[in-house]
Amino acid sequence: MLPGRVLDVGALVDIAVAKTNHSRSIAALCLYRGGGLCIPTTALTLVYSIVPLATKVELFDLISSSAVQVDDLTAGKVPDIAEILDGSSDITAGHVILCARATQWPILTDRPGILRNLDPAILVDPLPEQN
Amino acid sequence: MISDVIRAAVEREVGNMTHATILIQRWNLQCDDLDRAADALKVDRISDDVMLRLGLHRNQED
Repeated sequence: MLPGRVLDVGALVDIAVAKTNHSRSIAALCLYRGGGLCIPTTALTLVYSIVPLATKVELFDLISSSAVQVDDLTAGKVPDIAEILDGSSDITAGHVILCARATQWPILTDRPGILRNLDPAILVDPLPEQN
Repeated sequence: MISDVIRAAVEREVGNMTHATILIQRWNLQCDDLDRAADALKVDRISDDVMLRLGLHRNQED
């Protein structure tokens, strides 16, 4: 099976600012081995709002690949995301989970517990913990 | 035609591989990083030949 990951906020921040090389390596290997990546626009927006300007080019380089799906939050997805959230206000988390359901790829994330609380069946690939 | 589908798939994969190697070099990823990622993804590690072409060297003990 071709490798793929849905990139949550923590993974995108890790790619942008290179806190570690883990997320960058996972992303590069997914592309190298013919797989893909999915980036929810809600997560990308959040990351663009918090990372330094100079690091945004790293994300731009990544999303310019044809194997990277940047998933828009469209009106048609609102009911499904609302059902996932079930009262929670974390729209990004709901969108990330919906992308993972659609792609069947694990979510590269630094908040596996939060995502599993919203969907216990979702596949997550936790980022290594930082000291 | 099926040949067009195959050609498109090959072009897509080659394009992705090229983009991936550009990212590997731009991000200055090392053999250890890529080997750990390959193991985590349960895919084959990048071969020694390709690593050398990327200017990367595996440690002898790896």
